[in-house]
This record gives sequence, structure tokens and C-alpha cells, in this order.
Amino acid sequence: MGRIRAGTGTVFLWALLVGCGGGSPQATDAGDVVPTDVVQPDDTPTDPGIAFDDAALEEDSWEAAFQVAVAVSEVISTVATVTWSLDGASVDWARVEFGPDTTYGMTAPVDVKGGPPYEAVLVGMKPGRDYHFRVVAQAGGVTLDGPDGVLTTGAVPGKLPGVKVALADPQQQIPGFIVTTVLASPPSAVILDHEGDYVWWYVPDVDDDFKAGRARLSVDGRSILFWGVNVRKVVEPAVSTQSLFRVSLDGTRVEQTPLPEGHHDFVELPDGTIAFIEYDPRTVKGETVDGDRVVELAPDGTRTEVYTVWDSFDYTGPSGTPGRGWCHANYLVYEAGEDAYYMGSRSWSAILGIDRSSGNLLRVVGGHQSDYVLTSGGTTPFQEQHGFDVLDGGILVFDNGGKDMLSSRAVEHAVDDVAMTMSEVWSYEPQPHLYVVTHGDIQRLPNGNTLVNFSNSGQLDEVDPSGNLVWRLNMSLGGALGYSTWRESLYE
Amino acid sequence: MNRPWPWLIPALAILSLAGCGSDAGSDAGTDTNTADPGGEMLPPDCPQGTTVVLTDDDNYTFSGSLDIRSYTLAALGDPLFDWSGLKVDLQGHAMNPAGDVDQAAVIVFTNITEEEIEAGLSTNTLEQSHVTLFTQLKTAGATSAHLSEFTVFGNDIDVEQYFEEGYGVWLLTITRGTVPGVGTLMAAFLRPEATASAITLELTKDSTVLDFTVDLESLEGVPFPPSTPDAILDWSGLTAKGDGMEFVAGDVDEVMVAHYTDLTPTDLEKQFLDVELLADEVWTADVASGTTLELIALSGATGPFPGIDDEGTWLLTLRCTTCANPVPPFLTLLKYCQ
Repeated sequence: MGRIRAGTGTVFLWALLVGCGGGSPQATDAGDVVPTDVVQPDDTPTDPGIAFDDAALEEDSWEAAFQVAVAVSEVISTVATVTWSLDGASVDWARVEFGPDTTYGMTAPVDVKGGPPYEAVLVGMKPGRDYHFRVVAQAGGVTLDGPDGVLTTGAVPGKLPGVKVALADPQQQIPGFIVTTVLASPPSAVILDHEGDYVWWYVPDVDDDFKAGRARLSVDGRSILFWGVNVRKVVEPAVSTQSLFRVSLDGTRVEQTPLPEGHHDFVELPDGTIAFIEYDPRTVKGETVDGDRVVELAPDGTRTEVYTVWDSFDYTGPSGTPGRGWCHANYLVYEAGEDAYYMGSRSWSAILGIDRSSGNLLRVVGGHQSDYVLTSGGTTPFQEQHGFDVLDGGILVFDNGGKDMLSSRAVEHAVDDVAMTMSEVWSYEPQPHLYVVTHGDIQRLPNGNTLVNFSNSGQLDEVDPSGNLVWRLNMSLGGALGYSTWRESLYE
Repeated sequence: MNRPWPWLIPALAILSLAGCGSDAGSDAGTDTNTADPGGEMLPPDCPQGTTVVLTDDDNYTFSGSLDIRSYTLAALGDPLFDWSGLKVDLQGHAMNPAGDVDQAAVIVFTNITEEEIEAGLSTNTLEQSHVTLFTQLKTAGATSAHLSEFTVFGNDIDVEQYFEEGYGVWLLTITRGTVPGVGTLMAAFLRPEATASAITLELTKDSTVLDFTVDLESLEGVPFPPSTPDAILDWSGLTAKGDGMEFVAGDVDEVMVAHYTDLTPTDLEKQFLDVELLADEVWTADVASGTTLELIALSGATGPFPGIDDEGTWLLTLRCTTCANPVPPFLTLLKYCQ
């Protein structure tokens, strides 16, 4: 069985004739990395009629030669790259299956448009484990299974904080991955699986003030994007290294796009445009005031201001909330269905809906200038909120709560755009209570549960619609988290 | 000149000199050596191969406690924290209050008592969910600071507005370095009370008291082949730390070998806080990940690790430099073998 171990820096290569009735693989590299299994695909016809153009192949029975190499990343030892080709065949499509045993379970896509050699990056593997993998390709209308190989992943860097899954109900909890950041100890982008294992990490070389606040999987599925929170006390540069980092999944390629005025949150659009929150300082009666705006950075580098709060709101003085500045925008969502942005303002305890094409303010949800009336008669659907999830007919919010509450919660409001009302329909507070002063995130999951990220407290709770806790993850001391995104797969 | 041990400097560690007790002195590695028929002590047999496998039985033992003093201050005020008079850190090492302090931090814990915090820091069992607020201040040479100067990752939230009874347990630390939780020189609990009038806290050498017991004398030592600096150290089989808690392999981020020409394990036990300072030479290597290390990676002031000989005492430690309590999870003696 082929094997490669993290940390060896070795790439091994083998060639294997498939469907020749058994026999040993023909190794091009000596040692214990040579596979001994020959895989006969169950669905392989005896005469698939494949129009192989390699004269070396037999004419009366299909034969194909997989040449496969795998290398575990020397940067991120839970990531491996499989490089392969299929001699003599034109590949229609392909994937690489991988998992802890020969039932695999995870699938990495392969882009075959560029021709051989093909490549797939395997991500989502736990540290310190053996993983099986194989190439599955279709050529000439026939699906061919490549040979099984085994690789061994490496260890997690000790400097990352510890993770513990304190509670898990496998019947109710949804498996998947969480793309997030460790804010400060050390500032890093990480991906955790539902068992609390680090499956990906990147620790940038940044200055002490860089606090990693947001990480996202790129829309092309090839990179992790992340940056720092970049909060500042006054109108001056907060972090000299504030950039948008684009790190390839294997960690070997890192691009930095300096965005010194960007802060808190960004989102990538389907076409690769990066939209982000940026400080927009202006002088009002001799006072420099930080406003906020939404800026787009197109793949060709073109910058476009979509919206600034100065166009919709008059500065009437500090918010009255210490340290929050005037607006203190802190969260950004792009809703493709209505081609709109939603930007959260902590100081105003409000969420602003912004039409992307016109830059017009569509709606204000929450706060003193809300377009919606609370059916309960209250005035504050949420206070100093951070993360939120725009739902069909409602909004799910991580409600940090003010000093008078000293408790953070998840809250869902139904929003009626005709009656212009909001109604609280669901909420969740953990036991024991947690008060999260900064950050906090929330996401409705496909199974109807809700993932609540108590960021600074390093706790993630998954709760069902009845408010029952079905999964809890805790970070060790120092493991304050940034924003987070749950993903069923790391390939989309 | 050697630097102090990083894992001792930080220590919210549970160490002090109390209880280091025994004055029984035997040279390193001699107590378990065998005698030949003529009565001469012989070095033990070396293990097969060049891999030195560490086991739980090879590990030292330690236990201890941490006593952080509580200071009552006026609630909802803006207390001043003053460490200008602090000339000795919690390990008893001389320090410069202006030059050695890089950061002050005020951490607010919730759902936990002062005693539980002390115990949790000692055993590295605190979770981030115990923290409701972490504020910090780069001191830049200052020897005092008001609470209002502290920020949450640069976000000035006027933390003093929360300084009142019932908001949690407040812990002040001053640290060397700026990595949260690492490098603590002194610590104190803050108790805001509405009826209190004190607005200044002066840190002293008694603000935090460490008490510990450590046993190096009982170590039999790990046989180590001479002249084999390329040996591989393997700690994959360790399950327990020196304090009996679970050994977490991922915590290990540094390996250190130290050599003492004239000091015995008993001597080192008595001066445990100065173990690195007392070494004639120290070799260290970072561990990014994994549970093995080629010892050729160790480097010291005179160059790469040369391997050991039969002179003096050789100490090996596996360190966690980022743990709240960075007392080494593993420490043993290396014993010259043949």
C-alpha cells in the first residue's frame, strides 16, 4: 500500500496498470511507498470501448495507466496534494476520494480542463492520522477507479490553543467544518472539524497589534482569505500589517493585498470581487470623525465605493457608547438574491440594508432609526450586535447585549416588510451565561439548528430550534475566536 | 550569560522554593548505576539504536499552589496600578519595573472563583469561556497605568465602566512580552467594592506567592548514548505531565538540554527557579509540531548540541512556552551510558 508521511517532504510516484487482471503495480520509486493493491473498479466493463490513443495499451481489453503522486504540505501538514495523469486517455471529469478508510467519504474536485497532469488538494483531514485516497476519473464515458493509496498527516503546531468538544449529540448535531480565526494567541486563520480537530491553519507573520478577525474560504475553493480586525481608538493607523491575506489551501502561496483602512469584515462575491468595510474619516466642525463605508475591490484591482454612512446619516456627536466611535461598522453580508449588502453598526445597534447597484440605503433594522416597529412594544431588538444571518422573512442576530444585560444571546426576529414590523420568534442564551463584549457570530444551519459563536469566550454552541444544546466546543485559555462560517464541505 | 528560563519567568507557575526539601545529595546518574565485581560503578547499558524514547516513568514530579493576593478598590473608579516599586518578580528574580515590563493586562473572569482561577492557572485547565473580558496595555516604559488606559484589542471600551461588584473576578498581570497569558512577572486580584475608597494598587513582591515541591532526586535518568548528537528524541508515548495531569503532546513547543558541570540534581532541586541561569551551557530547539526531534537541531552558545558525556548533570526538558503555567510538562536527567 502506498504511503507518505507528513514531514518527510517526499513525493512518491507510482504507475499502476488498472484492469489487467491483477499483478503488482509498477513503481517508479523504491521503498515502502509503493502500492501493492490493484484496484478493479466494480463498474468497469470488460470492453469499455475507450478510444485510448496510446499504442501501448491492449486493444481487446481496456487498460489505463494511472500515474499518481501525493505530497503532504510542508506548511500545513494536514493538507496533501495529489497529482496524477491517465496515460493515453482523455479525461472527461475526475475527482479524488479520500478518508480514514477505503470507504473514503470526502471528495476533492479536479479541474481537468487544463489537461494532465491533474491536481487535487486534499483538505479536511485530521492531524496525525492515516488517510486513504484514490483517483476516480471518467474517460471515454467509462468511470475508472484509481489505486488506493495511503498518506499520513502531521501534527498541529503547539502554539495553537487547545480545543475540546464538551458536548455532542451525533443524532442532532450536523457535521462539517468551521472556518474561523484565533484572534490573538496566536493570530491565525484556522479550520476546525466538528470533532474539534484542527484540519487547517495559517499563522501569519504580523505585528503584535494584528488580531485575526475574519477568515473565509475563497469562492474558487482554492484559498483561505483572512484579515485583521483593525480596530482603532482614534483616527490613526491601527495595524501596520493590515492586509487581505490569500493563502493557498496547501499554505505554500500567500498573497497580501494591503487594505490599511479596512476593518472588521469582508465578503467575496461570486465573481471574485472583495467587498469590505473601510474607515471613512471626515471632518465635522473641526472634529475628525470615523464613518464607515462599503468598498469593492474587483479582481483587476479596481476600487469602487458602494456606500458610505455619510450619505444617509448626519453626525450629531459621539454615539455615547464609549469606544465605539460614531458608527462602528462591524459585520458585512452580501445577499445575492437581492444584490444587496447588509452592514452591521455596533454603535447604532442597527443593521443597514444597502442596494449594491445604486448604493441606496434600503432599510435600517434595529436601533433608534429602525424602519421597523417591534410588535412587543420594545425599542431594542438587539444591542451592540455583531454577527447576523439574513433569513427568508427574518434575521438571526448575535446580540452581544449592553452593559445593563451582561449577557449575550442569539435572537431571531421575523421581519414583515409590508407591516414594517419585527417580532422576536426565537432566542438562546447559554448556561452559564456569557457576556461577549466584542465579536460574536451566528449562522442558521441546513438542519434547522443554529451555530452560535461566543467569540471572545472561545465557545461555539449548536442549538436546535427548541433551544436544546446539541454540540459545544470550548477553546483553552487564550483561544478567543473571531467570526466563523460553518461549511458542510471545504469544496464548493 | 544565560537567560532565565522562559517557563519560569512567565510563571503564573506554581513554583517557589518551599518544600524542596531533601538535602540528600547524589551525583546525577550515579544512584542507579551498577557496580562491577570490583565495586566500581559502571554506566548503564545504552538502548538499541539511536532513538531515545521517553516514558512517563522518566518524568520528574512537582506539585504546588499559587496564592494571588486580592486588593479591594473603589468600584466604578479608575484605579491606578503602580508597579514602580516592584524590584523582584514572583519567582524572586530581580527585575526592572520600567525595562522588564512590556504589557499589563486586566482579565475579567466569569462563572469562576479566585481559588478556582489559581488552581486552573496552575494546572492549565482554564478555558477561554471563563474569560469575559481581556484588556491590555503596552506599557512602553511606564511603571503605572490607570484602568481606563486598557483596551480590548485596541478597542477602547472604557473598561472602568464595568469595574463594579458582581461583574466577575478581576485579575491584573504585568508581563514580559506581549503574548497574552505568557511572561507574567506579577499578578493581583482586584475587588471593586462600592464602599471602598482605595484608588491605587501598588504591586509588591508579595502580591503573588508561589509554593511548590519538586523532586529531581528520584529521577533515575534516561540512558543516552555518548557522542550521539544525532539521536532522535521520541516523546510520543508520554501520557502524564510532572504534575500528574494529562500530557498533551501538542503543547510541547521547545526542547532544552542543559549541562551542569558541578551541580547535582539535589543542588538543582534547591535552586529550581534558576535552573537555566545556573547551567554551564544550554541547547534549545523549537518544536513546530510532532512528538520527535532530531537532537542535532539543538543549538547553544557554542554551537550545535555535541551529545553528552559522563561529567556532571545533564537535564532534558520538554517545554510549553505558551501555556498559562509553563512549568515544563516533562523534565528528566540524561544519563551517560555505554
